[in-house]
Amino acid sequence: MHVVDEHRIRQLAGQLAGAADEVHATAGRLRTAAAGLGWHSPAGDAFAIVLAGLLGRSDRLGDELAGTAAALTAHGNRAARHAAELAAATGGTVAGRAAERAAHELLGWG
Amino acid sequence: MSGEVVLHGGTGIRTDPDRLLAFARQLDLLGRLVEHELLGRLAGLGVAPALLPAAAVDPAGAAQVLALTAGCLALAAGVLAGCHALATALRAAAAGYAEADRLDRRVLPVLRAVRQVPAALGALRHGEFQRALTADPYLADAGLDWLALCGGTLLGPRGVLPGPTPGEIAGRVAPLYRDGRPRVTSRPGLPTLDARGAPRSAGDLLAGLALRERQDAGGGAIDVRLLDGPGGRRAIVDITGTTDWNLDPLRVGGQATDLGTNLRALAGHPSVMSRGVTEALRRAGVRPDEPVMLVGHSQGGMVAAQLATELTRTGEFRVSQVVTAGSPVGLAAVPRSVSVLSLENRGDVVPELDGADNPRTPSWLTAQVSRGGAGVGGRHAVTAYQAAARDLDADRDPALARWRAGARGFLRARTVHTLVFQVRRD
Repeated sequence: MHVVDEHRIRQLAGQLAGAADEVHATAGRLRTAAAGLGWHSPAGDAFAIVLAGLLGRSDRLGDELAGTAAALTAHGNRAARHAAELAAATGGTVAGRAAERAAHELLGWG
Repeated sequence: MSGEVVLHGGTGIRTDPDRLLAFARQLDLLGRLVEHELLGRLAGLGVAPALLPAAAVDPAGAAQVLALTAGCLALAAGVLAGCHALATALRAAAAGYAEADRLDRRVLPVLRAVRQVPAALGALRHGEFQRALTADPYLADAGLDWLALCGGTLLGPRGVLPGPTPGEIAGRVAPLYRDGRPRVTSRPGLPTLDARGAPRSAGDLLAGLALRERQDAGGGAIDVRLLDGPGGRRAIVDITGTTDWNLDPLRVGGQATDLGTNLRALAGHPSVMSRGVTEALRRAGVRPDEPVMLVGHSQGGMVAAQLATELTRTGEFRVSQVVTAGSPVGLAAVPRSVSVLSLENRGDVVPELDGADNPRTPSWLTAQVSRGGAGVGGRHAVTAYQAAARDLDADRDPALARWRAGARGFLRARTVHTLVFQVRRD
């Protein structure tokens, strides 16, 4: 058995990347809508400044999510490669058993 | 909801409440995305079963993913809070603009008839009302908030239209504004009227209040005037009006005399300002048995009325007199043991904002006065009320004579020593 579930990790990374896209898209829609808000007053001006800050943070959140997704994908690939190398070097038993044992202990399985 | 609201005037305020509400709903969507889709997913990533075996063979990569995830969580929490706060502010603003529009078009004519004071409100012709609202950018937007409070309710208490009372609405809106704790500091450098001697009349009382309002050290300044005379020691407290019309609940700062305090006072709740005044009385060494007179302009009068009620209940200080100038205090449940003199200037719309007549009891005298320049702003100014109080001093009306007799202990003191404090929000 290959203990590193590369497929599942890619799936998780894909979900994060999808969320990143959604955050970017929603922030973009808000930016477009704000341009047509037509709120002309001192309070409207103050609101625009606060909103710009919020949308900036939202964009950054989208970027960070995308970065996390990429890091997760890379981590999954690297872990799978290391596990495969270890399996090849030890006859497919030592690394697999060690990883399985670690997983079981951490999660309280079995 | 109406269509576009246009308030003409110097600042050219223009908006459409429907668009503000639609935008608030879009903010909700971003908030829901973050709350329901992201936070749980990010929090679950650290304990995802698939990641633990991977962490065993690539611990550095796992640590990097976890660090990035923590950063995303912090950002997501900030975005979520921002969405909620902005959507709330937008909804409050939309309601305010819609009510202002409604008030402008519908309520004022009816209000005139119902109140039967065309002389007082005759100045509030359509254009002048709008010009008054827009004369000061901050007053303009904050005025909308005030109008939101009273617009749907001015008629409600009288049964013309159903609706919650202004106090109930203020009580609902007030929690949006952080109240905080008072920080009371002594301000000995500010000028006082002590050199002129102890006050002798309503005009002298308002003169002290007007001086403090003109020189208020940036807001929240109050006087505790300690009097010594034949009847023993007494204290007069001057409480100034609003200095920060922060419509935006996110903009609550150190100013204790802000819109949040207005809302709390209108709802009859304690506020950072009322607690600050109480603390100032303690610092001034006023004793529980010494009579206290609270004098306030605009918000200061509202705080005075609320505080008189509260201190009578707690017994910490003995408030025997309240003088308000241009304050909406009709809803205040001031006990009858406290004598109240309320000055309301013709053409000043602010005392009308609670939509309630002041109680007509032997202990509460409302004096309709007429002083000040044209427009709502001029009529609401403390200087207009100072001049009006001088007029009252010369008035031989029996009700005023009774008020003077009740307040004589405060108006016959031999000496006065004023301590100036400033209340800020921590």
